[in-house]
Amino acid sequence: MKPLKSYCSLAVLLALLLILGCKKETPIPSPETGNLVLKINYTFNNQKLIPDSLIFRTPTGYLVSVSRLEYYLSGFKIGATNTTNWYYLNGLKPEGNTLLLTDLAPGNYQSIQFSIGLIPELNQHGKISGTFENNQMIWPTEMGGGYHFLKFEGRYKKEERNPGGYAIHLGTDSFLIQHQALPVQFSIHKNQTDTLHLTMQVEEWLSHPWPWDFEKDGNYTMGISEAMKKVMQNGNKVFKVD
Amino acid sequence: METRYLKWISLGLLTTIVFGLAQCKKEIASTEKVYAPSYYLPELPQGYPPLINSEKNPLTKEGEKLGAYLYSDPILSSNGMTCTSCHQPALSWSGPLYVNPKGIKTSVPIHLNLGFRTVFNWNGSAPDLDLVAKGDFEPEFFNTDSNELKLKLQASSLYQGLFFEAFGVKKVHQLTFDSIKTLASYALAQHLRARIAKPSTFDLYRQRRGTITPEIYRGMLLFFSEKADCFHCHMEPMYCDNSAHNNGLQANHEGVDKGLELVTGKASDRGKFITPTLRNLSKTGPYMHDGRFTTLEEVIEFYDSGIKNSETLDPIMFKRHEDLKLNLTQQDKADLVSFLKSLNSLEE
Repeated sequence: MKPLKSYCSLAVLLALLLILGCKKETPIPSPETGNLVLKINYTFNNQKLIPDSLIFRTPTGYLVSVSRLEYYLSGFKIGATNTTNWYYLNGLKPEGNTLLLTDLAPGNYQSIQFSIGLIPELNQHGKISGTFENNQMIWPTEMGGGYHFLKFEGRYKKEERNPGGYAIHLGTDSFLIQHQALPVQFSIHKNQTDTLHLTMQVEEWLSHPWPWDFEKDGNYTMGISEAMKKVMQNGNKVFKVD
Repeated sequence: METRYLKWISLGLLTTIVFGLAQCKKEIASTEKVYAPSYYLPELPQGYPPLINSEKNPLTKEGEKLGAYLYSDPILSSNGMTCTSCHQPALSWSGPLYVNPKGIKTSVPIHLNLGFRTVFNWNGSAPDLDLVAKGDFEPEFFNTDSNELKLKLQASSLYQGLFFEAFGVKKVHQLTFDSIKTLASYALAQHLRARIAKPSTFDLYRQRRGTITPEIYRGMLLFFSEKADCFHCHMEPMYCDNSAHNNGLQANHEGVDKGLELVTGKASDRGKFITPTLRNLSKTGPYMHDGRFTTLEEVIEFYDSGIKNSETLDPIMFKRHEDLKLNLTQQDKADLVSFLKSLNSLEE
């Protein structure tokens, strides 16, 4: 009896181990939340933004092109929900058009708000993933650390003068752009993904409240507090809801 | 009674185990050599981005090993050349100026940290590291005779074994020439993905494990400042940006100097070349796509006062005085050279 019982126990144990070992992962139940996709268009004076084209007119009379438009969005506020998600976006590449906000409480909302740049708790080296793109956005430690919030570059030309180049860069916590709340009625549905369409009006970076004059205001901003302050204020209304 | 039940229960459970084991498809031990590559990812230095592994050619110990053999073995060529003929280990897998039969000069790109790059060759003509080496079989480089290569592979028990372990191919010489080139290129790509720069003096300083001289420190401040503004294209830790730029080498661009435009066909890409890494820079001259500068001092002199304007000059190059000059002092230039030398790996 005894040896037989031992064999039986061993067999039970082995069978259990086998069953557990072969068991597939139990799927995590879907949360009682919904998702929101933001699709972003890029325009300049209501025209579709075409990269590297010296055709767009600024309020100060310059023709400009855009050869780089990289930025972060973070600090989304949707209703009472504050998120710590962050998104790297490249406005000149197709993958720079869409971002996905997850785990949002279902309901009806009247506005969406976010920051352009990285909120202070994220704006430190190593706080976001060290992808190649993120590393390229690093704001050097020697200049204050963190990440570029915005890299907006291209060429400008006025009248018959030779074209110049501009590099409008923004970074460091003091110059985080808390974009004005965008009024829009939308709903988040449980276990569904809803969509909102936004447009970045690229000309706004150079328009309101500070019409940018490259010859007076300069053609680069990094490390120049006065210039970055103007860019920060101009960036406050660059997005609109379609 | 109890005993009888226990017998049946035990028999049932043992049947379950046997059936379960069969379902789990455990491999049965065999004396025959089994193709079982060891997939792995190398350990990366602090701050590095994720290695770009290949879905169609994932990194394995065996593939990397085959690549390491092929890299320095003339078996792939019909003229005695190897990868190391141009990419010399002592020069950080770079080499002296290469001049092709048409007289076109090319600075030999460094074969280091390639597993983090998304675009290859100076003008960005190669988007896939797995296939870059296929071009080396052409007459300009290995001039490989397909029959000769197959005979050499057939006669080599070493390579028969290495190809099997890496790709599960038992008789590599029986493949088509194109397939052999593809597998060799895959193996070389794996070897290159696994070749990661060793720490430099400046890496150790960043990690608070080492010190730097006052010259390097001053050079660092310039490098990461708007005054010299090197960092926007050469940001640490890779010191390159997977992008192409026109850095102002010349005002007019003809022939190979059109750079990326020859690949994309876009006039807006004229004169743009892929940013090289600055790691091990002092070992990898001559500099620029055509090797026009021999020393780091010449390179810095160019960025200080030699920029030429053109329609596609990178906007970053305008972030300076109207005459496109940086106005660096002699001390600044010497400090920048010191800093650049601190990016050399302390060991190969």
